Amino acid sequence: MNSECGSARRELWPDNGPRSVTPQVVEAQRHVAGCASCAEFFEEMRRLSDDVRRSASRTVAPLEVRDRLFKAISRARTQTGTRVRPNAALIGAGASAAILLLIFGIKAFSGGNPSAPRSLIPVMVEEHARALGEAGIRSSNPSEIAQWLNGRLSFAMQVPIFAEASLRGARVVEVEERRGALIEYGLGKDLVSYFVVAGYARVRTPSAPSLVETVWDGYHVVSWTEPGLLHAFVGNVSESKLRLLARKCIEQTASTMVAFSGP
Amino acid sequence: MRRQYPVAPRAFEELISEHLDSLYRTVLRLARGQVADAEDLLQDAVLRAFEHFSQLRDQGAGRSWLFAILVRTNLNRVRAASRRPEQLSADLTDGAFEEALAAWTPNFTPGEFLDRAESAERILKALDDLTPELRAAVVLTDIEGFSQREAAQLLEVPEGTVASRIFRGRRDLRQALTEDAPALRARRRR
Repeated sequence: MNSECGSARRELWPDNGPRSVTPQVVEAQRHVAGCASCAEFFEEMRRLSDDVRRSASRTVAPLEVRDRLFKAISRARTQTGTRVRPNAALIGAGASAAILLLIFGIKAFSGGNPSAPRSLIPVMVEEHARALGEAGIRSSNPSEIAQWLNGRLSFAMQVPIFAEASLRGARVVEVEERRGALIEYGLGKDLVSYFVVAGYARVRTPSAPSLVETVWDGYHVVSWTEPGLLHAFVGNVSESKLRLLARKCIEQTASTMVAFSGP
Repeated sequence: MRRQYPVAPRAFEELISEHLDSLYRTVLRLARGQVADAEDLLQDAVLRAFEHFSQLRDQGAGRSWLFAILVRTNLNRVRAASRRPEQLSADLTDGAFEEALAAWTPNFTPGEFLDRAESAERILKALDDLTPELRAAVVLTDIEGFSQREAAQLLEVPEGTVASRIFRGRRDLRQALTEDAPALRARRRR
């Protein structure tokens, strides 16, 4: 080691950052190439860095942390949505309309099925707002998704396909302690979730399902029931788009999804 | 009446989901391996990011933006909790830094003497024992792969300061890991 070692190491430190090639850098590189001590210094630094990176790289966020975090975001989203409305008059009108729509929506929804809980819509909206994550399957292949879901659900699941929406994946959800499927579609730049949950509308359903529309937290929800199953499309797109998807879905899946057992 | 959102639905969740593992890895080290503290810090930072998400113009810069908020949130916590036993160490002058670089004598790295699991455990323990500012510099560059310049921006300090902190962090790590070097060498010979 000689007096040039300090300045050469300083010039080339740290070893992982981009740097401009200046005459000083060239001189420092020339020094290191001919100095065993400096070459060893940088080699040892590289090994230390590798050891540190390897040691920490296996750490991943536990599922419960992920879950807690997304619930916190969901709560914050609701609070933020309330806070940013433009003015008092619109705030009042908007709030009243949303409440009325919600009340009538849920009432209409639960009219034919008294057992459907009123908290169902917010739960589905919250599930929709979460990304697929590791607990699901990412695929655009309906057969692959159906196979994946059918190994995890108590009912036979058919995955509808739409010309205007691209299939992105699916995951299993728990809604009011009832297991169901969430299938995710891309609709232009937006995302739409299709829910099928077992254990609802077990009695007296109309022969032709009627669609019920609701708005919650800025998301539109179009739902319907058939014996043993609840279906819903949720998304931040217009009701007409969701309604169209729902109708096509009903056509495709008519009588093909059968609940094996109740909750 | 449709409620308008300041944040595009799902875009924020997707951003968090994409970077959650590296964010969690970082908070765990910044919190010295204390899981509860790490989770609190992570949640604080993520909610702060959510609040300011509309300010993120370039989605491609999402990772740096999230880390900037995370580092800032941690810094505020460290400053606020001055009663904590952690001590901040003074940064080196340019001259002192150069002297420290020159004074480094080659030794060994723990990976040469320990099996992988044992090595990882010791290194993480030694990392957690570094002072907060050295730990942050090492975590951001060595573990998360940020360049010196990026780390300097995240930590809001000059690049030279980050350079010296990385060096001192690694030096302290090696010091901690070589305290029982004779025993480790003996084990290797057996």
